[in-house]
Amino acid sequence: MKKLTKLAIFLIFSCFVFLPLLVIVLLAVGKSWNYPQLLPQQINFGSYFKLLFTNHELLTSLTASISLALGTIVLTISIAYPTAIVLAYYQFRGKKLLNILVYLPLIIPGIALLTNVDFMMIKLGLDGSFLGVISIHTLFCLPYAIKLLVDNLALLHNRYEVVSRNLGASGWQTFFQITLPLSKNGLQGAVMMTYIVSMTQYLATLLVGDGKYLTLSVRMFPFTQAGKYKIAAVYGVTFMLVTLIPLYLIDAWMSHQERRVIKS
Amino acid sequence: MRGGKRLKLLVLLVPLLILGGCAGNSKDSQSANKLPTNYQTALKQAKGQTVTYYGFGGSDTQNRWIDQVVTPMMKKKGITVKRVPMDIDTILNKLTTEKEANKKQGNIDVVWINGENFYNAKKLGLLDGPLNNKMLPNMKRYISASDPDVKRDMATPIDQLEVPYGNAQFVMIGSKKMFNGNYPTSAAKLLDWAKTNPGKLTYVAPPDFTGSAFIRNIIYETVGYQALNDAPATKAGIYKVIKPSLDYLNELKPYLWENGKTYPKTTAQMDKMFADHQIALDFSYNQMYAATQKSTGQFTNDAQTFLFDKGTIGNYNYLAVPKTAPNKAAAIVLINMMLSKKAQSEQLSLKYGAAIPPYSASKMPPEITDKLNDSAKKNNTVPVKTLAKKRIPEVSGKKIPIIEQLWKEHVLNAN
Repeated sequence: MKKLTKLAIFLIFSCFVFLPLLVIVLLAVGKSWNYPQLLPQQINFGSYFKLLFTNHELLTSLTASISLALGTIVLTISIAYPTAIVLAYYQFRGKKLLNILVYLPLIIPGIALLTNVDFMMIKLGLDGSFLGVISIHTLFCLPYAIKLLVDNLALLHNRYEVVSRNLGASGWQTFFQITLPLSKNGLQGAVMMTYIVSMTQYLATLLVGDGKYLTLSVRMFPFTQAGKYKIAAVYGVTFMLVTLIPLYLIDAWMSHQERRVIKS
Repeated sequence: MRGGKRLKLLVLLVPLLILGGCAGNSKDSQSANKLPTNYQTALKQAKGQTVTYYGFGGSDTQNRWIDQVVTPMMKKKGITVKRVPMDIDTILNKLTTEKEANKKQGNIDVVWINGENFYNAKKLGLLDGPLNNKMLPNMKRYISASDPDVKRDMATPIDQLEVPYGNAQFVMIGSKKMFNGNYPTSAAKLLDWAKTNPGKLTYVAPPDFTGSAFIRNIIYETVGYQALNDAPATKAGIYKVIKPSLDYLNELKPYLWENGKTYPKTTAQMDKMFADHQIALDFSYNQMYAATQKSTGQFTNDAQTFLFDKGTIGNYNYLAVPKTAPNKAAAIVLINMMLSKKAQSEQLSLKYGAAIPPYSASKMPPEITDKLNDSAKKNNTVPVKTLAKKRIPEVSGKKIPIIEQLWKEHVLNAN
């Protein structure tokens, strides 16, 4: 009985997650899909690949998306990691306030925040620059990255660090030998989340990027708005691929490392 | 102590931001550049520049026209075109922010704009002008200054702040077989036909663009353009004027598809129903829609385009240059190029969306007239002269949502 409920829950969950994805894939490769039919009449993978490789725009936007995402990861982690360590291991005045402040970018309505950030970016001369765009991406990635890292670090406590310092290791030694290896899982999660959030930024890239960074999301959005679902789906599938493949690779590499550590 | 070190790391990152700030600032210190005074200077100044065109990116035929026709033509003049897909709301948002931040030079050279958005952009003083005949030889050649659509865009005076580049007009597409060659060319005829053939007509529910235009056309039919144009832009004011039109739509309602209880949600759905002969009448804002649909195999020769005798709503797409445009000379060359006979006649082909040039009927080059009339014969569209003769302007964009709201209250939800 218990197994059955588990299976049912699993099936319902898969439906919620996979059916919409399936529709997108079918839209991208399907041909002559008209209303009363449940499935497209023809499946043609060729048209997808043809559109993918002959479409110069798609490839350039891919480069733009990935370079912005990588830049965002570097900036986000270098801010989120120290912040998370402070939030997880240290007691200080205003800690609760800081905990709430971390979520601000997600609480304030996007368009209000973005218009004003754009204003500031123009004042700073950062609009249209790589640094400007990755900073605004970072703003939206930070809440996720910090939350993931804090949870991970809080789980570990700083007992090992205390022991290490007691045994005479320096601060940096402790950080590199103890804290960093221990928080690998948290970092992995944070990197992945940052990658995904950065890839999906639409309005931020468009406004702060001054139209110079035409990422996948930027190209895809107008097509979904105009009801050009086939083109939008081709972008969508590509989007899923470039998001999922690196995630899988990072995951595989991390688990491989872990196994190596255990073996040795 | 250790916490202090982490803090130091944070502090170390701050200069990075400031450094970036200094690098970008120099760009703004240049003075804003001015519109060139005539086309020759524009052409000279524009050589080697990159012009950035911002427009709604969701129309793949339109994108293709820019990329495959306009861009190569500009390349020959030594100018690179960059197309940025951005919806007009975001563009205006961006331009407003730039203005507030006192930025002299932005990144947008040419924008695709019309109607309500033009009204807002003009009110906020975002657009540069005057864009006139001296700068745009093709405008002088093909568009007469007395055209109502050159003077007003949805009732907003244009004052040389935008230039028409595309022409849209509402057309009806009827099934030859179902109407038996006798098309309902007025609202009264449409109602008569519906009464004898119940369940064979419908329209897309507003706020769909096309459905909304159909309702306005019915208003023009029943109370006239002038009455609606003169009505105050308030709910009570418009209701008083369009009451007969709402009554008409309510009288038509029981004879519609599904007794008018539901309406198709998208034009795609309506096209499909029309192709299957479920309904006898389809609408479009593109005069050549029947031809485009025929070329993709959706419609057959059974589809005949026609207009109401009193005329149908027409509007234009426009181009404008923001005050903060960095390459105004190249922007002028681009606009002139988009108005050229070559670019416009290319745009007539189906793969580029079959958009009709914004040229005045009296100045239309014979090649284009021939092409359009040829299509009228082959694809049962309407000849260009007839289109121009039966064209009624749009009313103010402010009135459109009010009309849609009134339709919802008094027709959709009426008992």
